[in-house]
Amino acid sequence: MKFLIAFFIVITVNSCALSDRKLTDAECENPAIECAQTVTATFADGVLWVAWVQGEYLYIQHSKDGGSSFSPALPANQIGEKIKANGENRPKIKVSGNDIYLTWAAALGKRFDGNIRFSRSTDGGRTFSRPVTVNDDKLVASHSYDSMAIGKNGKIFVGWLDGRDRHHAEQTGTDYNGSAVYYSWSSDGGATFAANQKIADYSCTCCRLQTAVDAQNSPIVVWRHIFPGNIRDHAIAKFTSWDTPPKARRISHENWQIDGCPHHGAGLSVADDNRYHIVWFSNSSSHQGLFYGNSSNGGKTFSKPFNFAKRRAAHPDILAIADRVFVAWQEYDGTTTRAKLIRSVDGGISWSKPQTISQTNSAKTDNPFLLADGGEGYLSWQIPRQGLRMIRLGK
Amino acid sequence: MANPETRVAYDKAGQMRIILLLAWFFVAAHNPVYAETASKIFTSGSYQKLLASKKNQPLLLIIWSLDCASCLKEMPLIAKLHRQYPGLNMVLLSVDGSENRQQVQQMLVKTQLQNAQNWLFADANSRKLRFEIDPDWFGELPRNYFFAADHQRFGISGVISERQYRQMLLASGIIAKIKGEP
Repeated sequence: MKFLIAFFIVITVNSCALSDRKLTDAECENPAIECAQTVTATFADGVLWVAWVQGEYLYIQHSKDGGSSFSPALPANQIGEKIKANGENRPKIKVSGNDIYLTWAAALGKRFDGNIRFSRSTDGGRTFSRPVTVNDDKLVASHSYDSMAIGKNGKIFVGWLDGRDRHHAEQTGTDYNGSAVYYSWSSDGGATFAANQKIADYSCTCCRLQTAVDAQNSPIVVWRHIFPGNIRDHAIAKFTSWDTPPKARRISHENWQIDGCPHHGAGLSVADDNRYHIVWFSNSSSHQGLFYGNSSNGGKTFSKPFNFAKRRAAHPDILAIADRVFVAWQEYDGTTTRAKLIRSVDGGISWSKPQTISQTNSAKTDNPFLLADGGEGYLSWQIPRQGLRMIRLGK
Repeated sequence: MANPETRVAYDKAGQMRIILLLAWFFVAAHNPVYAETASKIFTSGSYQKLLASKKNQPLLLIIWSLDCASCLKEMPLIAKLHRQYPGLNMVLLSVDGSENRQQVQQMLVKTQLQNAQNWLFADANSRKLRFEIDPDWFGELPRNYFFAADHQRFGISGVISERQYRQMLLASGIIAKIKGEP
């Protein structure tokens, strides 16, 4: 009898382990993933890697059981620095063979100023290199919203939103609306980086950037652009060769005119068949909510956008695994925050009805993200003070 | 007749009171928490209370953040309107959270808006507080609401021109007539 009672207590305690208990301020004085405001996660060879910030350090952990337990939190930077880790602007982690690459935006004195930082581990995550600054302008200006993608032979592509051109314009008293999209790359595993080059002028300053390397080893970059008349719709640039910035193309025409900060960037995933799948947010007078579109010709043209969610839906992400496409986003109704999902099994032509994959009564949640572990899709959702939820999506 | 010793004791107590009062003023003047112009903290329920305190009054509500370059761009125009229309019923609400109160106060002083009616989200970017204000607002900034006397409101996202501002203020009855250049 005693054993039975103990058994039931153990079951109850364990099933409550990932539920709604919030860690206290005292418990969060030491680094713990539960305490992070945002978590960046990635799978590599069945191992889940996570990167999150607490205080002035970027912590790295890995898990061999899909996020149930983690290795001890290891700070990647030895010297503390202010690291941006909010919804749209957070550190990135990529795994390439035995190497682990990190980028982040380090804040400088004035509010919008910062540098893009890079650090790597070449020993499977045991130690990390002293961070270097990727932007080469040596200006105290805005450099942030870094995004990283890995190409064939481990080539590293890093894109970000850059304020050097606005800085120069301000010095000469001319107008410059927004930021610019810049990039660099490394073909020696991050030991050295190429000279920075500009992809486009006049991007939105506060929306997350997306990068990927497609099936033909061409980098692609997606961002919220500022078209003439302060129209903030999305654009794409697809490279032919890594050393030559391509022309930008417009993805869609919601014609969202706003002289303001949406803090709402896109999601991007390239399928094995090289179709580009994109999700984004708009609140124009004619188009409100979340949209999906795809391109089968390298971004030259896009499918008619599908408005898959309207009211109170925000921060979509997308994942394509062969013909299966998953789209996740978040909805808050004043009491409950829900992570929702739609699926396609035909490469994005038709979609299931939205389902709630996870929910919480916490109003302070990170955005939901979609990750692939081989052919398996996962939803990754950090609930600050509670922990990281990793949910297998199945077929 | 008062005992001379008592009189001396009374004088000392009086002096002590004056010294304490001066010390308090000194501290208060230098401590932003106690300064009269510091932002009021905006928590769950504050929105309804704010509207109730402005019953039957037209109102301009400006929501902004230190992290929003467009918002900061708009501040000089807001300060100008604040000066030009002394009775302007205007409330500024920062979503930056009480942990940023000093930086918020510095920005308000820099933009000469420290004497406006200023509020500050208790929790930075609180989804819950945003929802209480407007469930259909996606959080984009700046966000301006023009309330007519009956508190029917019109919300606009992003910076708008000076001319548009004056027209909207007039249309909502927040100002009675347009002064100066449109």
